[in-house]
Amino acid sequence: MSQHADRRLSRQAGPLLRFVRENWFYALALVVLWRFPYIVADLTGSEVMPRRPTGDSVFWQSVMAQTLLLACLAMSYNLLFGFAGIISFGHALYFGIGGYATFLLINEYQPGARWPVIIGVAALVFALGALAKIPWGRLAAVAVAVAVLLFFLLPGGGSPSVYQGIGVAILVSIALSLLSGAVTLRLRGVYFAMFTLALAEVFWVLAKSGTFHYLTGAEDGLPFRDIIPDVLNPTPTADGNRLQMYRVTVIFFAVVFLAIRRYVNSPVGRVIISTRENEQRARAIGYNVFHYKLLTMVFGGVLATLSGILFVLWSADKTVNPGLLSMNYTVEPLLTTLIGGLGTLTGPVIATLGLELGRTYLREETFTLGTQLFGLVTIWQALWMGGFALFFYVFRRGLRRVVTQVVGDPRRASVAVGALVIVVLAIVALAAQAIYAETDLDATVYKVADLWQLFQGLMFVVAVMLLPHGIVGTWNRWWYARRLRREERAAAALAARAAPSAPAAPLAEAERPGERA
Amino acid sequence: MLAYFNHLTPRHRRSWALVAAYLGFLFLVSFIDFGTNTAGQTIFRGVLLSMLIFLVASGLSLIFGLLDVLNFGQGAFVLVGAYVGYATYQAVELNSTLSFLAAAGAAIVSVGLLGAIIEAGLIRPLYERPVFQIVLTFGLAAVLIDLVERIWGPQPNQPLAPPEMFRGTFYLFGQSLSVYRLFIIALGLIIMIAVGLLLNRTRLGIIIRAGVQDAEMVQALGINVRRVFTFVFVLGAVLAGLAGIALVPYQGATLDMGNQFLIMAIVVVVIGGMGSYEGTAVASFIVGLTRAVAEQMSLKHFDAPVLAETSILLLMIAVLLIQPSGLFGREES
Repeated sequence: MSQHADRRLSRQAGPLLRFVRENWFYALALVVLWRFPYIVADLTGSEVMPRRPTGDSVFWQSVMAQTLLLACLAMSYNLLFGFAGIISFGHALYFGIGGYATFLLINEYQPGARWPVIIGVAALVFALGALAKIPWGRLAAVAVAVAVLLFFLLPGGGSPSVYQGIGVAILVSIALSLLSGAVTLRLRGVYFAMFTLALAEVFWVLAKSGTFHYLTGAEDGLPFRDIIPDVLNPTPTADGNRLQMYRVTVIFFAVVFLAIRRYVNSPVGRVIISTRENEQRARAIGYNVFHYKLLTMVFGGVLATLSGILFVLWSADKTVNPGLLSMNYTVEPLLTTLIGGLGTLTGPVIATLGLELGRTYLREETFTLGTQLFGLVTIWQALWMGGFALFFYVFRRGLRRVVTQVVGDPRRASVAVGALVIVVLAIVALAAQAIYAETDLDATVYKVADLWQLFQGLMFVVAVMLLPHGIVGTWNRWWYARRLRREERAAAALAARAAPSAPAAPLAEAERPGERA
Repeated sequence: MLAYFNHLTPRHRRSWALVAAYLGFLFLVSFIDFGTNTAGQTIFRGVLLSMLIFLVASGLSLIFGLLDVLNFGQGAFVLVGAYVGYATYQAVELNSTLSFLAAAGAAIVSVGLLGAIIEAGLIRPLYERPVFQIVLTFGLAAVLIDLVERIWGPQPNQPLAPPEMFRGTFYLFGQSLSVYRLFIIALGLIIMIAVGLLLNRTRLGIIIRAGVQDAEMVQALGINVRRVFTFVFVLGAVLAGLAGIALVPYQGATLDMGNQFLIMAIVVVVIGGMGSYEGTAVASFIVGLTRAVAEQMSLKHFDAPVLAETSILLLMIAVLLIQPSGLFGREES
């Protein structure tokens, strides 16, 4: 919706101006991200590329890079959930599998396996395609393409490079997407959700089981340290390895963002969105909804896999461990997508940036129940007041009914309800103060970082219940509604000036400037 | 019972035959592969597991059938039941039977309250937005698991001694087993029959079954369906909590147990058909036995019992490909 309104509003302007109007925010954000290490260095008085690998700038480079990668994960999740309406509860699988695939190829690959693998995979593709009744010519082309791809990804001698490993990881990710898509995408959405959850859980259990310690390193994971090429190595050094990798990450982030934007605005993306809105109608128009969903699934999966691999390189121990496959990396993008705004481009990014940077910024902060908030109330009082406010909110209709009965006049009733709530909350605050006087609220000290996930969960519930369009979605709606209102008013004024004698009649539906396009 | 079999549709009759054939195949394979004693033990373990899975899956299936909400929080309910029960069982120092009863009561009450709050407060306002219901239960499950970890710590808790009554052992298939295992099986069977009777022989059961078919019509007949919804949600949560407390003296309380059971319950619901009670009961046996046999088999041949995890996934894939509506479910449109 927002995109349309943007186009509509800037139609009068020339192409260059229109481009600037539509993109200035993203360009500015990119510049800020690019200069971020220097900005932090200036603010904290630390060095961007210090001789000793410490300092605020170095630390925040790593935090920012990891946050951007999580934002990429959230964006890819949003592509599935927000734009295509596919609920996947196993996105962590795609996030984690990249590191494992890359690593297992490098560790376990024998040059002798090259031709058997190529022939085997091509035959498998052929057999599956034949089962799925894909036309022979197209099927042969796909099988040959896969074989050629594998020929370049699997070296004839020596061990594969990291880049070849990443290529194989992408293939594995595509295969997994196709598997879960083929089994469940034709059914109702809940089947897909259940299946992906089960698939991801099985991979997680396999990865952390001690039985396959020789392959996966079980809980210890596989150390990436010795095989990273210099460009992708974020170890802070004087000649700027980390800064270089930070820039690689920013570029990756920008590419992912632009790719998703392009995808969503392309004809394919339009079909995807129409599928989300009304699948039966999209099918009735003649689109093969299943194929479009599958394509989106594959695209989102590959993006998640790539961000997962970069995430491993950025992690402190540079290790692929089962944690990457755990449910955390499904829940996290889900939360940020919902908080930021389903089906918005910037929503997941903004929510991830806010939550992750906030968590890191407040990691050392502590508080007790007696800490003052804004110098007004203690947290203890605020909790009590919040509880009562919630109670009032839940029973707002009943409360209103009772007060209306007592007061009589419905217009005075809302004032009475407001006054009542304020008085009760004040009494609650004073009562809490009285209890505080007897107990020692400063006895237990809480760390903000420890309670962060609870805070996130609370945000999630609030977002689902009260802000179904998320922060960005709600903002967009409000903003465009306001613009349309203004335009309408301007048009009405214009019409009134044109014909001063006649009363300003409301414009016909088609003539309203806001309703075109 | 006989009346049930006399009034089967051809499709259900075929499903029963398929189930019988599959279970027979499973028994045959295990007896041939492991020999009598090990096979007997494996099947016993499978039945035990089936009962626990059934407790979780019946709630999932009932809630889905009536409310059309796939409750991904069912695993978290198991977890909460287990941890609350564990803590109570340790804290209450009466004779062990009484403290186990107290633990069971605490688990049931806490999980039931949790279920009531979630249904009435969070799920009910979302009936216009069904996608958000799924997402909400999933997110809440993650939050609950996190909360449990925050309160009781991440380390796994060893199984506690079962209550005095069930401490004895009995001898079966060349192995002495704790009587407590028999108790779990009995509990599962009792609940299976009790809920079956509730659904088939009571007024409430009729309302629930009618609601599964068409909730709006039931509402139109002047029945407060929303209240029945809450009841069924709480019932499902309580059954999951019961599975949790039953697990405490058997496997202890660990953080990943909730999701483990959720996955198995999901597979059960897919195989049995969403919203079908007899389907859930039968599929619980299929999943429990398959898993036990696969575990034993992968242990014997590959020395890797974790491979059993994949067995139920393969089962799920097979059912989804061959008959997506499950064995006893209604046909998908």
